[in-house]
Amino acid sequence: MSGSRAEQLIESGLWLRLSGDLTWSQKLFEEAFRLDPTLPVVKKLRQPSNGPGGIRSQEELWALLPISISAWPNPFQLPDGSVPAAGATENWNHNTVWRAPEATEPPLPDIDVEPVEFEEIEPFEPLVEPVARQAPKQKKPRIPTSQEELDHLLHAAEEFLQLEDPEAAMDLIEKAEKIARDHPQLRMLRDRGEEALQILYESRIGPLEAVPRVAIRADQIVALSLDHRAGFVLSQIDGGLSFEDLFSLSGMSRLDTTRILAQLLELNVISRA
Amino acid sequence: MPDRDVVIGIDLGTTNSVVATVQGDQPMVIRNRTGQNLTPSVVAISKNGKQLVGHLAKRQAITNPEGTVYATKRLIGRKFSSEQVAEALKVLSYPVVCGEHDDIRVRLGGRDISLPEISAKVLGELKLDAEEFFGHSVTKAVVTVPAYFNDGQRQATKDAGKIAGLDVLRILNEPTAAALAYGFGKNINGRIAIFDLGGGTFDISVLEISKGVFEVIATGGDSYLGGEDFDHRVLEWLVFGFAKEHGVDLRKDRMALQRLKDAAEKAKIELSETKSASINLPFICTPSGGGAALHLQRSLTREKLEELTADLCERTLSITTQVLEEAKVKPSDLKEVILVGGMTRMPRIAGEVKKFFRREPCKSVHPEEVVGLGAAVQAHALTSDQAPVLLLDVTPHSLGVAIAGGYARRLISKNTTVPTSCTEVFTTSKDQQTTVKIMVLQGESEVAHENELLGEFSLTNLRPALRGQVQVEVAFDINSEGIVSVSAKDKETGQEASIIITPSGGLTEDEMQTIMSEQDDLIAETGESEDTDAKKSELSDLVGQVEELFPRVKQVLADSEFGMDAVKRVEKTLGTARKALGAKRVATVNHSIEQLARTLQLFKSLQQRAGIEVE
Repeated sequence: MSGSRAEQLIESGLWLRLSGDLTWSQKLFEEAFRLDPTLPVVKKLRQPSNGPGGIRSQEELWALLPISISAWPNPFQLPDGSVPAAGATENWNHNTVWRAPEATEPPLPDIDVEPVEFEEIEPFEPLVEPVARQAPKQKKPRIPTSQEELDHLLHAAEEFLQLEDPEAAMDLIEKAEKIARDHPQLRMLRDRGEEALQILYESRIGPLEAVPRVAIRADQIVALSLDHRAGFVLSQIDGGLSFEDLFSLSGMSRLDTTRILAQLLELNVISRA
Repeated sequence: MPDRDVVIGIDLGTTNSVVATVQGDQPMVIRNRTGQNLTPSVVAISKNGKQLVGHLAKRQAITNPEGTVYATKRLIGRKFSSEQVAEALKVLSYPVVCGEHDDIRVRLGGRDISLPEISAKVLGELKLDAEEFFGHSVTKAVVTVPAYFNDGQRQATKDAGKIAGLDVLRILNEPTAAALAYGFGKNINGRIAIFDLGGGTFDISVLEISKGVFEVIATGGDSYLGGEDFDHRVLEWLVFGFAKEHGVDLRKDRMALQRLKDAAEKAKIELSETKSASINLPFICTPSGGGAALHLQRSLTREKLEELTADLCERTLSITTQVLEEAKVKPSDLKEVILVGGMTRMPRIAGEVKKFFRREPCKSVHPEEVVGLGAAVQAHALTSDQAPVLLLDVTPHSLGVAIAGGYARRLISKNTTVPTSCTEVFTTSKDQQTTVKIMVLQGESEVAHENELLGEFSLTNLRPALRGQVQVEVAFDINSEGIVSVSAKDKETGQEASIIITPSGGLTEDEMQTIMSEQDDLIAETGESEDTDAKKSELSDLVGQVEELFPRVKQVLADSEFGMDAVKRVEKTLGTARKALGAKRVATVNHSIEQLARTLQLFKSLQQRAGIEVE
């Protein structure tokens, strides 16, 4: 299962990378690596694009995105089901050739192709389309359509919710909302995401009837890096009001208030009495 | 053994309310459940749908303006179409709509709620505080109102008490309550002034105290002048200073505004004790272009506060001058001056009052609490045989009828003790007049339309004659409940017509019934109250005692004059009591307690008579 999820995350990450979101694509690649460190492609993708071994061009990225990754068998899987040694794939890119040992190479089922050497073959294509022995075509980078981008963001958000990482899911949902705010699936995802976030933050806060107190001196507060919303919530903490009371007077949604309170606790700006 | 007949005193203020009682002959304030003496008269439905009353409601008032109701005292008992309400609507932040009978409704949490219901929520909170203090339920209260409140406003306040589960035994004028708190009436007779600058209103009253009657001989003020105006001046000073420094208008941000309002009030209070107050509001706003949040840090001196609010202080004195002049009272006529309201703690105000009246004002009782304490003194007087002062009920305003030329003819003067009655003969004002219209008015104005019209009726079929020849006798009668009966009789024929005017607070009897039953349902829905739990424990003890004694007295009971029928009745009572242990309403539990207590008494007397040993 992890393998499949990791592949989905790689695909979503690729879409994000292509849309210019380096931070979040990186986060998805890291998550994919955490789930399945054996995937060679993920190692490559984890490398910074300006670093050694990193993927620099959009073309390289597009080359990795021909179809839904979840439908692929692992391109690095040996016909007997084993995976090549790490060293054999770590410098892989779409021009890399990997030769399977001839002795163990079985005919590929259901695909009308002659056994070929894998030179010059783009690694993700051959298993789904018959490969003519023609000179490889240079793939033109294409701009993703909004629908495609939306689908992938929804897919990734869903994945993060399943992975119990609602914070990551909500970030993607917000990105998706910029494309199609009223998408029904998006609304459902947001509801689920907010519910999961609420549970997450409340678990960080602890009992809601507990009374928080400011744990640092006034001069230390000024040195913090807070926004005015957090400043407002902090100003309401007087050692008499419970967390539950603070939800009522914050003027913000329960989720926003919980998030701020969880952050303030995490920063040790406030403590539970 | 707790005193079950305790009567609490309540100052239901425009901005803050106080509940008090008398303990060991000393009036004292009952602290609320958050440990404070004052409870803000604010009710809200927070953005997360929770009902808030008091401090919490006040603290979110600016961030949730549409869902926060405050200062309903300025509106209670008034007609929606009245000028005062039209004025109030200009400054209210919460939605107000017209009720079915030209009464006022507040739209809150998707419902249109009457003002007595809103006030009832504050009273209910104070009731709970008192119940926590006494450890048992409290159902009776004396509630104070401004001296200028008319019958409708007073009745609306009573209705609020009823909705909150309080039987309002007496409505007391606020200046009278202040005088009672100082013990005036037993040791001082004569004229005194009450200078009351509260959170939202300013009232100046002159009382004539004589033999238990506290007559309000002059009252006036400004319903829109109070501590909040002083806070606002400080707030503006902070806002403009910040705008000058950072180019940001903090008034556009509700969160910033709420913090500024709280900080301004805090600084103002602090400056009554100190010469300078620091105001630190870190992360007050985030600049619109982004970047780090800005801090507000300023120091406010007492001198600056006085400069910012000098005109407000002067306004109180000019109103005082005007009221005293109208009543033809000179400062030198007054025996005492009492300071009431938190704003009179401000040294500048106290100083100006002293200068104006040329005497040191009484301020030994906390000015925010003095009215509540006076209400407690009166409440105690109603239940104690050794009461120092028992006030008489008086009519708060004059009563009369409209007469020719658009004038008002006063038949019963204000401050007349009730019950009372009065008769006067009028004549027709036009030739061949066969009908007279009796318009019953309440108020002090000589001009009819400047008074409040309580009701009207006609006397018809008069003999056609020249003007002044037909005589009509008009009789006013006010009973001890404050119900006014007015009749008009043709002296020649004896033909009569009449009207009974029951004070109305804006709600009809049916509406009151509906609200009360909704309250009952709410109690049932919210489950068992602490009081119900305590009662159930009492009932459980009684069930145990009766069950223990029953087998021993059963035969004696069967052989007694009550016979087997009595045995059956005891069994039935026991069965009902066992069921009542699972009831939600305290009344159900109380009913069983009473029945079982009687049964137990019967058992004990049977035991004695039959010589059954008691373990």
